[in-house]
Amino acid sequence: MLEAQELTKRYGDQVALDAVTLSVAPGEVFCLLGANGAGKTTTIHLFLGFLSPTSGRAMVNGLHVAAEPLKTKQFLAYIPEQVDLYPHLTGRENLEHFAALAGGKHSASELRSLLVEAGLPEESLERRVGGYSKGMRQKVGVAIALAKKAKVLLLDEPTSGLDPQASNEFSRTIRSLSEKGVAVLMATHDLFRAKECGTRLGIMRRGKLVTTVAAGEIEHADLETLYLDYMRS
Amino acid sequence: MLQAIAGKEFLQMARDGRFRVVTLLMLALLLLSLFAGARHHRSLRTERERAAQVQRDQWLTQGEKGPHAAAHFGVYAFKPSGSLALVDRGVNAYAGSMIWLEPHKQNSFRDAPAQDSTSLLRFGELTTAFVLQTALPLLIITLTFGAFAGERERGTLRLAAAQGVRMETLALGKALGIAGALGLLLVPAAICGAATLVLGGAVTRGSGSDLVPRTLLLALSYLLYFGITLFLSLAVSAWARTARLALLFLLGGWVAATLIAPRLVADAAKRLYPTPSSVAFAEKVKFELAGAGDAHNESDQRMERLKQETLKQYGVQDLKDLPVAFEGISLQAGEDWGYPVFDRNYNALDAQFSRQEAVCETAGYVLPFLSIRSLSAGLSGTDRRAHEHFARATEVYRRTLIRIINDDVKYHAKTGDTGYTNGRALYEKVPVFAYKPLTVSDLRDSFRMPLLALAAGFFTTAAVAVFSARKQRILP
Amino acid sequence: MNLLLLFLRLETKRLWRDRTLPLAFLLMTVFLAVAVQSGRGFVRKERAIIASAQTEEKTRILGLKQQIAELTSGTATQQPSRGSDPRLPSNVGRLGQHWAVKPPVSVMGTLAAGRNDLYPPCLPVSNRGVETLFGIGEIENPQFLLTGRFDPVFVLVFLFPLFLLALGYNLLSEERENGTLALLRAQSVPLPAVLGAKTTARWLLFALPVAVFAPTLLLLAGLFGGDRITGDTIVRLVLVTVLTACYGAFWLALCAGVNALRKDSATNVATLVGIWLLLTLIVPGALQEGAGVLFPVPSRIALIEATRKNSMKTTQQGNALLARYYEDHPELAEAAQSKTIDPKDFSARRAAVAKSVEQIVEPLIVRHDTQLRRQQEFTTRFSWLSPVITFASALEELAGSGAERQQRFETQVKRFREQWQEFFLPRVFARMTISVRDIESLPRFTFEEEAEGMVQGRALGVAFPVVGLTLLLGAAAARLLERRD
Repeated sequence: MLEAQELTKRYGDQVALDAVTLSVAPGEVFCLLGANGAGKTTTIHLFLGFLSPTSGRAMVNGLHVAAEPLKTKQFLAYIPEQVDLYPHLTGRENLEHFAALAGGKHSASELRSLLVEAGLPEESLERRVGGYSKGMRQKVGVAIALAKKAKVLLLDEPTSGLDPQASNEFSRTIRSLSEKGVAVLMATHDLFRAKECGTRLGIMRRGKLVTTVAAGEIEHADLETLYLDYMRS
Repeated sequence: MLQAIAGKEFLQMARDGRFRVVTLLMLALLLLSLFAGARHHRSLRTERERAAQVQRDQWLTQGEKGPHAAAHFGVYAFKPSGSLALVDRGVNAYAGSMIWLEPHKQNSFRDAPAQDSTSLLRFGELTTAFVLQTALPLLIITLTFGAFAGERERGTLRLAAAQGVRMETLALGKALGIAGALGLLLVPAAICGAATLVLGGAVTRGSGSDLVPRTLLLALSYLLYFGITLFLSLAVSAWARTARLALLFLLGGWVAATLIAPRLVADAAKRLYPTPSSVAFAEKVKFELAGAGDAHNESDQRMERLKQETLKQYGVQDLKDLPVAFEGISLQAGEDWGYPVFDRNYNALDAQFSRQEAVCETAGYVLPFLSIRSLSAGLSGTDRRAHEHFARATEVYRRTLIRIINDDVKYHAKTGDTGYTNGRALYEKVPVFAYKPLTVSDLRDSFRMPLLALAAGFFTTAAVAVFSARKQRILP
Repeated sequence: MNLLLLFLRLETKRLWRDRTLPLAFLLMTVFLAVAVQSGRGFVRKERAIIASAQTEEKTRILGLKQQIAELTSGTATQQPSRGSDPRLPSNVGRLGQHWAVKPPVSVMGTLAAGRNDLYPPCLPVSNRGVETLFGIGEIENPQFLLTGRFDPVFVLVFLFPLFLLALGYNLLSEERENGTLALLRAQSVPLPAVLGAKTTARWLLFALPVAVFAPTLLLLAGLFGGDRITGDTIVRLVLVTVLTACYGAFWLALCAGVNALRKDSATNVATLVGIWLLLTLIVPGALQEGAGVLFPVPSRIALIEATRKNSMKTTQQGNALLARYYEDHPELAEAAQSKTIDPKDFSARRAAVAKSVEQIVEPLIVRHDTQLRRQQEFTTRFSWLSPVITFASALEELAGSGAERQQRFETQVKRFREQWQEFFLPRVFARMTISVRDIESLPRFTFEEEAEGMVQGRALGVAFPVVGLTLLLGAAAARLLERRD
């Protein structure tokens, strides 16, 4: 579903991403682990077409992102670290707007049930987003993804800054989505969360994808040791 | 989709308290200026209509006297104030408001209201045109500067982009949404304006039969102008790294376009085509007139020749034997000799002014402010061209008036008889001065260039806005 | 003081490195240079008009004298018509018309065209109706009068504040947006002191240099242009510096006040530009509109109507008027009888009529002028609403193109016209002829300037309310910050 082939991004002499090759199949949750500046976000931005690669390709559903930026986006849903919404509009209105941007048409009740499905409490649907907590905004982001019925979900540090309960709920949502056959690419530095909901884990360092392991094949403690080892070397 | 984007943009603005305040203030300003304009216009109109009436009465009741003396009493002509002057006063404050029509010379307009005003006038008049041309672009800028730059900073732009929307679509949708918000301000203002026009008696009196096309063209011109401002702001918002930079850049552009450039262009135009000084102009006319012949000076050589020609024409030896009064002939000849001099000099002045204005109009292709200013005043009938047209009409009238008087002397008096007088019967032969202002179709040619400039600007800036939106960076 | 020095150093570095300051200086220099150039062009044109008027007068008077000499000595080749005989006092009153000149003020004239582009620098004084004196403006494309000029006053009054707003809109908001404000506040420095120091630093860095630079440029242009420079010129230039510095302080204080409201930078910019628009364009426009409503000036149209109505009436009584005049002035009646002058000369009767009409219409003129003065007083009284108005009018006064000087000029010209009439009318009524000697002793006009101290004092007086407003704004900003601290 998602495929990176020798994906490279350079800014002058600085290498942000160095020949990364990876693929994420439907139903898979691929977690990118790494320190700040390791290239996780860059990878996601390249799949979104926000950046154009220096060399290599990013493919979505077999389509080349750089060549068909709009078509590939039809399959993608994106939840950034901080879901920024229009503060003067309500949760439902925000969802309605972004869903419309993707070309979808939804009735008010459909929108409402999407938001509830994403975990937003009923009574806050018609309140302005300016008063939402970070977790609530994150849920609107999830609802946007749900509304789009995307085949791929790109998550950039989705749980950072969330309280443990909200974070846990979020993991559950991701898992249920992947069970429905959605391919998920998630950048995070939360090893615990990655182990919780990922099916495969990739460790990145200085723009390189240094190793990939299956989540089921590794214990939590081993993952931490592995991660720190790679960070040190 | 366009509708969804526009709707969200509109809703967002409608809910933002700051925008509400700014828009309400602007609406207040607009209505205030309309009200002031209507008051100003009404008082001018009644005063000038009354003055024209009094003027005519004075002319008719000046009593029995020598016709030439009656001509010297003269007539004053007052510039009428067109209905749309309540929107745009144009150069009215600076061009004279009346002219004295007397024999022997073409006078200049006098009593520009600017001379009878406080020194504050130079800060500009609070007219509807000022609000529309100068203040409203500021509102558009405040509504638009964050359209892309702000969303980029806030992070909503990447969310929107990830949804797979075309940036071109987003740009057009935003333009529509902002235009909708502006409509909320402009539509009531336009209704009030139209109401003022109707209630002010402008429509019913039928003086402006072309009021409707004029108003529509005026509205179109302003809409194009606002469109240009909107698209330019969108383009800058797409290019600028941050919303703050976009705002600074746009404000700088506003200052440059509305305050600095017009003055610099005016300076350049004056330098390229200098205006003669009043003293030099008067001197030149006086000098050329002296060469043309003096109707009151019997020893003038040209007068002598005229005398001989007249004698030959009527086949008599002495002026006393003429069947007509030679005074009438000589007075008219004096006028006729002067006409080419006045025509040459006033036409040259007009041509010079037109050349200066052509400089401004050419600059209008880059500076929409100059185009809209020229169009707005032109359509309101308050630009210099309208003034010039009126001036020419008064001169034609003056010549008619003087000819009627001189003919009376020629056919009714006796040569050498200074005691001939006439009265009301003669004065009534002089028609009432009825001025027919330029119509829209007369002005077609002079409007073409600025209107074309605005239309070209509209489509160019729209293209630039779409292009910039497409090329913009999504990430902050 | 330490804090000020600290921030002065910091702000200099920052504003210099982000190129704000060099760019501002560059633009301001270009603007001022262009403006001074344009201002000098205007003064040059004024001087040229005066010079051509004076040349015209000289040749005309010379011609008159020659003509009179020829006529009296009998060497004239042709006899003039009644209307152009240079020996008749009524004709000389017209043909000998004298240009009353209001000269541009040396060096300072460059500063502002002010109202001078509406009024010609010289007025033709003759025995024709008083309406020929005023009301005819200098020839100019009215569109350009509407546009206004790019002179130094425009740059200082309108553009200079915008530079200051660009420099000061983010005094505090930027620190907040960068996150440095929290660091600053952790250093136990009171916020009002920080704001004060930053504002003062920017004033020292930009406003003061401009306030010094602008008059210096004027002086240099004057020196190279060969203008006469006196002690008074220098004092006036220093006053320009003082006023500009105060004006700059006002705008920066306004920036500080808006920053104390703790909004984000973009809101600050919008607010400040809104205030700028209000103070520079809307308040003056509204005041002017208000003055027009409260003190409507009877239009010149009414004046002309009255003049014509009365001249119609009085012309019919012309002979009676003349007779009455001779009753009042028996000495002239005697003189008139002893002369044998063309019996068709109606000039005495016409002069009597004109004089009578003028007396009748005089109250109307007075009323007109009074209303106009009231308007001016009204706007002056409320000019504190916007320091822009007071600053602009002070600079125009210093430039010699203000309303006050024009008023003075017109009053003096009116008085001079009376003097002119006093010279001719007795000669008209006495039916005397004009000799070459008379021509040489025609009254001449010299404009008496107001005492220099008065002009300078008035200009300096403007500084006080501006400074007061600045301090008020500063105090308000400090209060706002303290209260919310």
